[in-house]
Amino acid sequence: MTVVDEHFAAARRGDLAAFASWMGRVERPIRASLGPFVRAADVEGVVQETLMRMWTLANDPNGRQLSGENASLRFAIGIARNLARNEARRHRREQYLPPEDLPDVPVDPAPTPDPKLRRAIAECIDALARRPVEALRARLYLGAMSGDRAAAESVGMTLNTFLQNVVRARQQLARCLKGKKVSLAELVS
Amino acid sequence: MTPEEREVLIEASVGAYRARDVEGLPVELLEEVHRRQVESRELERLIDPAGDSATVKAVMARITR
Repeated sequence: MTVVDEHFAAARRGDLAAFASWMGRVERPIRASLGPFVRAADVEGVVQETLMRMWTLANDPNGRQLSGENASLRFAIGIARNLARNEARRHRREQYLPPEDLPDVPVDPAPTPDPKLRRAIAECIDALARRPVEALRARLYLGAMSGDRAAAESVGMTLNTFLQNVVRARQQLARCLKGKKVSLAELVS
Repeated sequence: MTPEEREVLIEASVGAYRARDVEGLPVELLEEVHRRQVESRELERLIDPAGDSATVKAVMARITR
């Protein structure tokens, strides 16, 4: 049984923290599996809806039993791709859909973050200019739950100024990491 | 559209909050939005003390609401 399987089994026993850990492991491969759907559907929305449906499954005592290595991740990828196809049809973006017989993607769960990389990023964030770092932190800690407009208001910025500052933060962060021989592209490879 | 306007337009769709989606964005920008979303979620995992991305935070907020 893999760590992913163990987390999902615990989630099926009602363990919300285990489900959060499961999400942390499977988010990256689910998102990667949606790469061919980027032009057809809102990938972020599909990833979130997939995770919500897996939580519903985990809490359904009569829900489908999953078997095999990383079964919950494989099942979630199937849900994600179906959701993306449905969304594309709903928004009349079928022309951007990939073929039905799309090859399987690797389902390796996300690795544990490298402490050195984590430290380099923390140092670079501390080195950002004041307003960009305020915007970045507001998005990190408030944006996910309440949206960019609320995050912007929390730091006294208009939405447009907030987004400009997030862009600046991203650019300054990339330059700082480059100076430490770390590229943002490496984070996602 | 100026390069600065393009950057802001893309950035507006990168966040994890989903009261809106990317439906209104020009198709040619969607690849870049996706690239930045992937990058942002990885950065968030690295920065957050609990190792959660904004996606995980958003879903947890929906579950516990």
